[in-house]
Amino acid sequence: MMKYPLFETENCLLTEIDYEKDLETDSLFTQDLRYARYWCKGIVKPLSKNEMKKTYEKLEKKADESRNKFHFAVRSKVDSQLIGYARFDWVFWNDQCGEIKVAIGHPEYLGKVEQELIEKLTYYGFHELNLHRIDCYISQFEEELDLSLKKVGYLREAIFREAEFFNNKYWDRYVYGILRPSWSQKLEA
Amino acid sequence: MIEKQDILTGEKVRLVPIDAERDSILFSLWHRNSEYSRLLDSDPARQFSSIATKKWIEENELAHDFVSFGIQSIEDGTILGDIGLGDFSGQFTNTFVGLGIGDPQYWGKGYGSDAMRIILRYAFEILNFHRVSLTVFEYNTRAIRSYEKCGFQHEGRLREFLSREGRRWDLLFMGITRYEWQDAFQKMENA
Repeated sequence: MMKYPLFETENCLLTEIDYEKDLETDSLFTQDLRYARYWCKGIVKPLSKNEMKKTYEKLEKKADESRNKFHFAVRSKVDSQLIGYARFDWVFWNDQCGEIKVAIGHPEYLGKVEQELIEKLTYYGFHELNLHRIDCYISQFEEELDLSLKKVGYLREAIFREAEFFNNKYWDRYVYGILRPSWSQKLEA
Repeated sequence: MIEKQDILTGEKVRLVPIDAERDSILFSLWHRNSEYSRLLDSDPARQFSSIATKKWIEENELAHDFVSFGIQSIEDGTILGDIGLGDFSGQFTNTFVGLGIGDPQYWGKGYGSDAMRIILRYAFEILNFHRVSLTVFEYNTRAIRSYEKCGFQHEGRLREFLSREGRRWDLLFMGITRYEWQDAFQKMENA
């Protein structure tokens, strides 16, 4: 009956946070400020192991209390090492809408696993969370996500012009969305 | 030298600090009107006690990632709504503006547009933002017209975002950049 595993893609596993192993790896990943952006709510900066621990704890507490956040540490299927994360950042239950985030910190996997992770989160959103629409906000410079979202069937619905400043330049912020009917059509095809 | 200028005063309203004691009662009262709540928020319309509202206001006083004001009528001093900028933690590039005119007798009379022009001036001239954004439900046509009048550009719509009254509605995205605001402001000055 449940024919598709929810927490597994072709190359990745979607798992819980491992406080023993992930702190050091994720802290190292944030040395790349492009990845740090996915963890820092305020000032973008590399996070120490202790700051990372506090960030995990805050995230898990919020997810537990609000029940509208679903976070997965993404690992390689080959050796279980941490790659990044995949997350429903929020869900509006009354409107059946949710927003996904995919963050790749491991340089070898950047540009290689985004599409399968977006596909899996989208599947999870429509078939487990029972949503009507799913959003994804990305920056203009995140070309790998831009391409992957289009391939999965998301439409670019809005452009916040010059809404972000990074690397000495203003960038547009794109909002992508997919509705349940178009996802179902894609599955049938 | 800086010219003395009352940045926070417009033609019909001025923006004043929110007073926890006074405004918590007003905010609770405004939310008794479900139409107001449904124009303002995608959360289910509900009631807030003035005590809970006062606590929330007090907890958020001196916050560093948003700023909010009461909208006060210049004519008679009534607090008729509130307006604020948020979501700018860490960077002063983009901010979202939220605006609510709580007392329906002030709807459609230009008070909101006046408050919006003031907060745009504050966002660009004092806080040095690069752009200001907002979201609005497609059924809030009065607000959309007001935002267009203030210089906001349409930047897209999230299809079927909201579910209310048995149908789905789009969420509209609008924004104004510093350059667009400067153009609009100069035109106003020259008019």
